[in-house]
Amino acid sequence: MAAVLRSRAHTAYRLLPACLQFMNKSDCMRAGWGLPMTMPTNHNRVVVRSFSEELRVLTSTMGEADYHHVADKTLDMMAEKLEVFVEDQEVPDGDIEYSQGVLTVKLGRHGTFVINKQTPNRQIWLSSPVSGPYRFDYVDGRWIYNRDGRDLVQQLEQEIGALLRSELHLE
Amino acid sequence: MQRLLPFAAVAASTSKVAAQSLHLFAQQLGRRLYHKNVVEHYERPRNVGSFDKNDPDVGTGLVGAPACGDVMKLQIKVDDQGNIVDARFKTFGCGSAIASSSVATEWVKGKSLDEVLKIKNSDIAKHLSLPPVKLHCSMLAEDAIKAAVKDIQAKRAVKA
Repeated sequence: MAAVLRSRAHTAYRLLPACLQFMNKSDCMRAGWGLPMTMPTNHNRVVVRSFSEELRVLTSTMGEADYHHVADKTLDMMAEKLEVFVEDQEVPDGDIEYSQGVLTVKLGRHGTFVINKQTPNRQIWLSSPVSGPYRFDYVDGRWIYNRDGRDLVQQLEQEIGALLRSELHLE
Repeated sequence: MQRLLPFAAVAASTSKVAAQSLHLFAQQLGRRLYHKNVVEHYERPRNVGSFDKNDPDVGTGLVGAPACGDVMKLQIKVDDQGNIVDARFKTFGCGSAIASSSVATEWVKGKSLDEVLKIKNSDIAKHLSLPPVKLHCSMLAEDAIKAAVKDIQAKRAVKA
């Protein structure tokens, strides 16, 4: 990444290919650029395929078709498992709704989880009554929250399992 | 009946007595309303506008992306002691996003930079009674505050 940035360091921001425009601030600073005025401070990360071990490959330039494929696979799996689980647990006012990329898990008095696709960002967003809102990126086959590395499927297993006091396995 | 709901909502936001019956009314129709705090901030937003982003006492936080449907710009004016004396916001997004950023500008005024970093998205969400799907708006508002603080600190570090 650093080598790519150094070679691009003298190119005006607006002339860069789109994949290099969406970079985080620390990369910009390290490349010796000042912060471009037009860059939002909260934004997507880059996919730069790198052969070095240190660079994690994040997927914001993932193609849309690929994104839908992996996101639908994850949501379909969760919807199926959760429907069975919530029914087995006989949660009062429990209900699962899944349509158009939005999975709503109502657990009665325990609250409601909403898990939805966010296609422009290639993310899955989670809203949890236990811990609040999160945005997950697709990294190495898992959905990861980039601020602390938590995993979407594991977090749901833990939180829903704890609320209903029963072990939940989504995968 | 359903068409009267928006009018009833506005009337209720200005009348305390009608508010409770309005919610029962809405429940019977199976509709959800924005919480009155959200309606209040949406119809009478506080601190809309902008400062000059090149002003050395101004910190600008710009978060979100148009493709996602939410962009917030939050600006703070900070005095030499590190206290926020004024704030402005401009938000492109849903009613909950507008209300979240409006609340954020109200809450940062008069506080120090360290204190505002303690403002959590959960506080904003609770104040506005945001439903699950709108919690992301309050998170964005928290991010906007943090980005504005980071900006002013970076500006001051360069100056020092």
